[in-house]
Amino acid sequence: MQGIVNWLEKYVVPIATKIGSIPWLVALRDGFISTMPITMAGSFATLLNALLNTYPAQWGWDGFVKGVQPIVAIDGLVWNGTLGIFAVFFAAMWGYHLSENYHADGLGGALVSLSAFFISVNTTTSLSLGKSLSKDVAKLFTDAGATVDGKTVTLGGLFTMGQLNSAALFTAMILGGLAVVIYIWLLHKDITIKMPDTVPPAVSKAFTAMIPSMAAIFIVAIVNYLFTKMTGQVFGDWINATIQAPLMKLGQGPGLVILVSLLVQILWFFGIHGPNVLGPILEGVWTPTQNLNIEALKNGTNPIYYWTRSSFDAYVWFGGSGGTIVLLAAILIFSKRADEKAVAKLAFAPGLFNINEPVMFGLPIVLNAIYFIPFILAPVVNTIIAYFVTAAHWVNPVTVSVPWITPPVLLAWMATNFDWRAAVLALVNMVIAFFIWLPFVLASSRMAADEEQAA
Amino acid sequence: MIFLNAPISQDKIIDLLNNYDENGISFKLKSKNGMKLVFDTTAEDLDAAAKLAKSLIKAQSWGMVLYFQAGVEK
Repeated sequence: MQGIVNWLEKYVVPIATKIGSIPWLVALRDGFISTMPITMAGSFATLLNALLNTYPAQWGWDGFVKGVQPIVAIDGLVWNGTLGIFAVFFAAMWGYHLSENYHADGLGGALVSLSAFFISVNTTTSLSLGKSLSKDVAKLFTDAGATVDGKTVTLGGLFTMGQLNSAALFTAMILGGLAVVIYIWLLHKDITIKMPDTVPPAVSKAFTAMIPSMAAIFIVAIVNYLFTKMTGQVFGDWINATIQAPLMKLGQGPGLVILVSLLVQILWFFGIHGPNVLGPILEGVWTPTQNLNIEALKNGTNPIYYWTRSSFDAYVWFGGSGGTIVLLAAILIFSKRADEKAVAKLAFAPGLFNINEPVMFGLPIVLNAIYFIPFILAPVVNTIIAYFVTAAHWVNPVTVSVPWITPPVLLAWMATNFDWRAAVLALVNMVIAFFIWLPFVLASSRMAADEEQAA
Repeated sequence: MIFLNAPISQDKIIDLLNNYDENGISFKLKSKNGMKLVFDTTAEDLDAAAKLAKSLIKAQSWGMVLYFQAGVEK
């Protein structure tokens, strides 16, 4: 084992360190993580709506549904200010963290990123009508500033929520990122307005950021203008269709889902923080799909993404990475090792909330050769099962963001908008993981007994 | 005393903590057994010392990717 550790120290840790310290990737991960309160608020509003409105309406509880309409209206407002415009929050957080990681003023970076994002999204929206408008009605629209073309009425000068939600995240990433890079570069080149020391710090900071911010915003505007002139498309729309949509699809293939599940486990086992290192993929690929699924639920349409960020929490990482809650159960029921039983008793309560540090280091699992195989295998098997069961539409995909500390099974049930089949799937996965762990628990128990006898 | 369960980068952790001496708080490696490192500390609040040790490691470019445990040695 020491040989493997030395090899890891020499070859893997430097790579993981490099990935984990690339300011771009760290900012991307932290940008998503910073928006968690917003995601949770929007998600909770959706969940409440489902509980109080959608299901009771299906059950014919008309009086109840009528009574809760004020709550439904409040939920709608919460949605409008959270997940409905998620890309706006992400653009700000992305600009903030990117700037801070490059030792530039984060607030200025957030503003520049936001501005670049709004420059790059489409400010028109088209309404498709069932039939062509009469000349008189069409004139009324054109007089009011709209453009009428056959059965289509186009309204300009407005940001619609469909252009500010998670479908626009890559616009925020790419063009927000471009603006922030220019901003940081000019700040570092010291191309700034300098104010005397007597000026209050807040004023001085604003003046310092003025030239870099203006240059960044104008350059992004010029890029957008030229792009639209050359292609006839809004840059943000092009990014959504050409970059974001295919990447979201790539994240829905079993290959990437299983690979990430495997890599996270391997990294954990050797004492490297898997989700931290792989955060840019976990958050960048599967948080947008989760938000889009939540939006689909809110709109009453079918969610189209099988796999989201919380799918790992719901079906794979029960009790923490490695599905260790079932290991604790196996130890408590079958192990004869007093030391392992003592750790399992202590670790069980935190494990119910998916915190498994006590068992990872207490048992330990980290660097413990006997538990290497189940620690890697069980989550991968669980991932494969959950992925294909979801892809076969036997359970609803995850459509609600639920805090990862929510107890196993309950988490799956809530995250899928109370789909009981998801709870059953989580339970089945736990049973399968239990039987993957069990032989190794028994072997560990037997080895300890043999060592005791030999002594 | 505080302990750290850190399977890798132990030498860097020991070097970092052994050389830390700020605000009257310092650490000295007392024992090393497998992945467990035990440090003597001049800090009175051991919980805070364990948290400080963790934050010092996490602040390093090599430390931010590590998965380790810090606590009070009983």
